[in-house]
Amino acid sequence: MNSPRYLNLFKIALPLPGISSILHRISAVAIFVLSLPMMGILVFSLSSKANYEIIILLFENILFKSLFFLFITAIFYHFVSGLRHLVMDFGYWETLRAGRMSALATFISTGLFFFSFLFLAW
Amino acid sequence: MNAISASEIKTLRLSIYRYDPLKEEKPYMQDFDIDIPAEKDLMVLDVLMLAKEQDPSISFRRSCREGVCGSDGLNINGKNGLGCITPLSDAVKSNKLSIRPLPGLPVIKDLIVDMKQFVDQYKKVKPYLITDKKVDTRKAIPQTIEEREKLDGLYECIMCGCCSTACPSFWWNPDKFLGPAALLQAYRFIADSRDTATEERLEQLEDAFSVFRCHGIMNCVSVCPKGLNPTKAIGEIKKMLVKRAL
Repeated sequence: MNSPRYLNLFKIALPLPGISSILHRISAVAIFVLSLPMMGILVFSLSSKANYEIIILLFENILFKSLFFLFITAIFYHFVSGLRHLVMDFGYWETLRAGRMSALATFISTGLFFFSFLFLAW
Repeated sequence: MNAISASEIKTLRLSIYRYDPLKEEKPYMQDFDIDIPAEKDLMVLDVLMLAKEQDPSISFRRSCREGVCGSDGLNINGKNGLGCITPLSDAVKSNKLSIRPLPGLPVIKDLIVDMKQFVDQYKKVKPYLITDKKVDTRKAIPQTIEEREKLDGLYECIMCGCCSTACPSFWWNPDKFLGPAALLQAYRFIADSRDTATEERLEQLEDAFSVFRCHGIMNCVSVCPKGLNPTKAIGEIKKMLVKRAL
């Protein structure tokens, strides 16, 4: 059957828990993609003093530094959102109101983390 | 009927998804200007009927017009709901109303979708009471008040399809993931004290897709026109499956 299916994701409304879930997946992809290069950079920086100095220089590049901050924020968001899902798996926060509030809490906590991290470590 | 003056009329910009399988053209949105009495809060279905007066070729399902039959499930300004019980005051944004078919299902014509995938998943959960042969089903099977209360919030589903077609897991795996409507019914019979097939029902659900594709995003709860909570029912099934596996 070649009938069309209506599925325009930009037109279909998602509640906050839905947006939270999509961001949970996006953060997982970001962590998956960036983990290996970040681990490589860490190992390289620990291998000698000269290499450590090179990585320090790398952090002066604004693009790399932004990427690093996003990576750490993605880890934080994924962790908090994962905790939220675990709580739901135990049978709590399963009403729409609780789901919205807990999703909002993950956004707010991640925002607070991001700006605190920015303020303390940039 | 008294004549209505021009000041009492407001014009709504209605946009409807059109698709005709007999014409070789892709789906498109057709705009209508609908005059509605300013003091009345019409339902979305009423507006569709007014549009059909302008263009009789518009196709959509409807029957009871009071949220009981579940025929007119639609995507209304991005959110699934029943046209007959969704007032314009809830749905219209900036005087615009866009109506599209339920997402993810094959479109037969305009706003009419093929519900086969949805019904197939419903059939899989055996939505009927299964009892031991020794139970005499010609007589009523008594329940306590507490046992009966467990079915509240489960049996009221009208199978409109709003929940399952709002669920991304159902969009991507409509043949494997049962979807919120079918799972609500699955739990309705699992929770029924008169049903004796709980073990078989759980065994049937014990795979990676049938239940566990639900990630609790609550689109189903958000759109259910009867105010039901499939996410909670799915959570109960998940807990029973985990307990069973331990």
